[in-house]
Amino acid sequence: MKHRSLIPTCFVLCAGVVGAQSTAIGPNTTSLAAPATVAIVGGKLITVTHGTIENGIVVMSGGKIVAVGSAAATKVPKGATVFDAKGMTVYPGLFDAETTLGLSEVASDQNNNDLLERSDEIEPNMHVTDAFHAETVRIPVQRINGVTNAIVAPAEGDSISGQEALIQLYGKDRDAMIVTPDIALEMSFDGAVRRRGGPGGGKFPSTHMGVAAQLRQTFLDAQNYMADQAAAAKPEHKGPMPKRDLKLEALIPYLKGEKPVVFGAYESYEVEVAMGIAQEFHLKVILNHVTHAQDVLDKIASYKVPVIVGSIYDAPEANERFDAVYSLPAELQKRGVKIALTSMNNNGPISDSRNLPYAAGYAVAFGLPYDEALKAITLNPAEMFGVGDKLGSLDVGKTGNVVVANGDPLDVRTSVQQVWIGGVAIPMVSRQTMLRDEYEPLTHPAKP
Amino acid sequence: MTASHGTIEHGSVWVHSGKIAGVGATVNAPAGATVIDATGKYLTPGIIDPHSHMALGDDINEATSPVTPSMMMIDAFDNKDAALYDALAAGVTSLLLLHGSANLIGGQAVVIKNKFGLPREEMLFPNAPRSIKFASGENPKRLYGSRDMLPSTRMGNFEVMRQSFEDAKVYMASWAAYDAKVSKGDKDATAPKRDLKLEALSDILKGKLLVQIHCYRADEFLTEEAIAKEYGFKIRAFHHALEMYKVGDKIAPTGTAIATFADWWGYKDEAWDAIPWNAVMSMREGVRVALKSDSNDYVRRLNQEAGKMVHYGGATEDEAITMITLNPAWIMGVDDRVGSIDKGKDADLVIWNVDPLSIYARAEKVYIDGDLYFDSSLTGFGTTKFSGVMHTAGFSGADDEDGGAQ
Repeated sequence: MKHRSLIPTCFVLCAGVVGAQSTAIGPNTTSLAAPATVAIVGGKLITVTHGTIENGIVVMSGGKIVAVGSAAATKVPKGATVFDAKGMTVYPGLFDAETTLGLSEVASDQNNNDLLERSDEIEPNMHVTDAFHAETVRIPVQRINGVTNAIVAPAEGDSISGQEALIQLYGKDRDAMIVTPDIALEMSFDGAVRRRGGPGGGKFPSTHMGVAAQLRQTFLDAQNYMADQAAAAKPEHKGPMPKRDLKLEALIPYLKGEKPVVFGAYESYEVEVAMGIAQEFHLKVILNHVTHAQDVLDKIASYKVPVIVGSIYDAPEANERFDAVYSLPAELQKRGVKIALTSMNNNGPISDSRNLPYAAGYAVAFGLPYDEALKAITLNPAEMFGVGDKLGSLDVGKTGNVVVANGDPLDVRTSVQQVWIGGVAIPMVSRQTMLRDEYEPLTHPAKP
Repeated sequence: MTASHGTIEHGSVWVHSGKIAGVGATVNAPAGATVIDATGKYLTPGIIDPHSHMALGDDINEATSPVTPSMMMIDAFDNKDAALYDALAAGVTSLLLLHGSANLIGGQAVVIKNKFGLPREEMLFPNAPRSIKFASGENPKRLYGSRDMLPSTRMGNFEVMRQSFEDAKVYMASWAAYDAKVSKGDKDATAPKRDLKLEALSDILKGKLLVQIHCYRADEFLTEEAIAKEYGFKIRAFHHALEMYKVGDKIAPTGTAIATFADWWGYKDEAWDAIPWNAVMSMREGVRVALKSDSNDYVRRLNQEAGKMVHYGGATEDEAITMITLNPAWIMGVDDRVGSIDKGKDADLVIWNVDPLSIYARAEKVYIDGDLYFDSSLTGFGTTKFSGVMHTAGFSGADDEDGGAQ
């Protein structure tokens, strides 16, 4: 990015102290390593699925977890690299259920923003994989705090803004990092998707009625398209095949209920209308936000769909109690709803996944049981997106995404020591750690 | 957690007439005193946010000229803004409400005590020093540049500032000449016309205003300090200051503090080199460091933003608490009154359920001048003084998140 030259006085000043500086910042600071056999030994294992194991061992091999158990009952394979986790916590890599990672670099610079195709309200044929910038500076910043997987989603702003992808936050290139392309469809029934400022904006749809009617028509068109394509595929069909329509074709897996739609709605009535549309077309729904739907939580529970809550940092409306949104995860979980949390918040389309564990911790402060909070950033989102068999817990057979930290995973004061992704000890380095380590010696001339 | 002299386990604080009358392992409170049992809980000074735009509606920026020092933020202050309540419920007892970052020299801040529910005038911090907001870098040059006006570059930015101070010097000289005539008994001397803008600029040069500068880049801190030296004023604090870690050793001797984010970064070019170790590195370099919100969201968890400093750079818990209490109080010039639990200071106190730096911390009771303003155990809002209808903030409260100058 920016080039930087140090002024000569800095060279003089730092010459005397460079040797005294320790540069140890993590076990792997260098390279893309191949997954080897690794044993993480002596830590407190937080498995997510089967409780906590004090003084446990996790063994990874071939990129997967091959053993999890107490130190007494688990063998460290011969030749394994041993990571001493005594006094540490060991937990599965975190899963951020909604991010814009790889779709933006410097948010104010439109040239590197690929957050949302704004030309139409209905864009199911937009695939974030076509824009995902695997080499973004932003990903290392997030992963060294223990986030190993994320859903990359187009920003909200269209009724159907595109198809999401599941990524792993480490890998040589795009292909190594994209776990599942087109894993879900991003949809929104939020008043903000109305075209160009709502009523008076001059373009359809400018009201909630318009948005709802357009969505219904779109799914009806897709149903017809699906039927036409199916009819044309039959042997008795004569004549040319009907022209492919990429937009409508993109909706077919969702009409068939093969993949989930992530449907955003904030207010109670928006949630109800959105669910009405979803039920009419038998969509498999993950509800998103429900920030101001406190009065219909029982109804939301009755839908039997999972919910990505909030952000819990979304502002309460004026004259709501200060903790109206903070307590939503707890209130939903209490009603049996499977919940996930994300690092997205109301400060704009760019978020920092590294702060994901703190959203979960905050939900605990406002009533969510601790184990459920950890699930909301690990196993629950994995299950919502259909990868619960591969991610989200310390279990044999799952991907070797494991984190070692010096304390409670959900607390702001905790420091992550090492992250493994796909069984590889990732470099605990980001552009930010490099800047820190570059300037640290230069600004302490007086230090002996 | 006293913020000035460490943490006292099982300590007591005696509050009398709105002031702290004693603090320590034991206090000599009279027998009849009301006792509030905080066993097992934590007590801190009220949290202080030295950079907020809440309760100013959509009136953050008078973005019609790059120099607007006679704008008084108090003229936009709406004491029914719900953001004040959300902040109170998070233990925030004093705030510096600043003009936005559209202008090189913006408006004059209002300092409030967050006595939510009281009339406007009773929420003002009594006799707090005046502060003025400056900006630099991308925001002013982008805004005025987009209108083909000066400034559209950083060169233009700084030249606008220098020219303003040159104008102020002429204005000051005209008044000095008049005053000299008057003192010699010249009955015919005519006073120069008062000009609110030039008067405010003169007050900067006379050191009557605390100068709060929105500034990101290392090179710009150095330029700002050079201009301040040239024109003979002091800079109280650089706000945002995301690259201070690069030149903290040079800024520390000037005495200028910083009010920075814990870990915001990358939202624009001049925030690209931001690192979350900035606050602690700058502190170790000798700079007085405060954390601030610039956001109606983050103001609600400044305590946890401070908690991150334990993680990012190894601040002690006492150092982290100071960043959200005593140091922001200094930036606002009210550190003799608030910001720590010391005898004689205002009894602005927060009782927390657990260590306030923990992610599990909630403010349970918030006292300002010894009065209870928020109690989370109460039903409804938990407020003790507020009744009626709150206003929705018409603005996210973050002037700079998306580049400001809207």
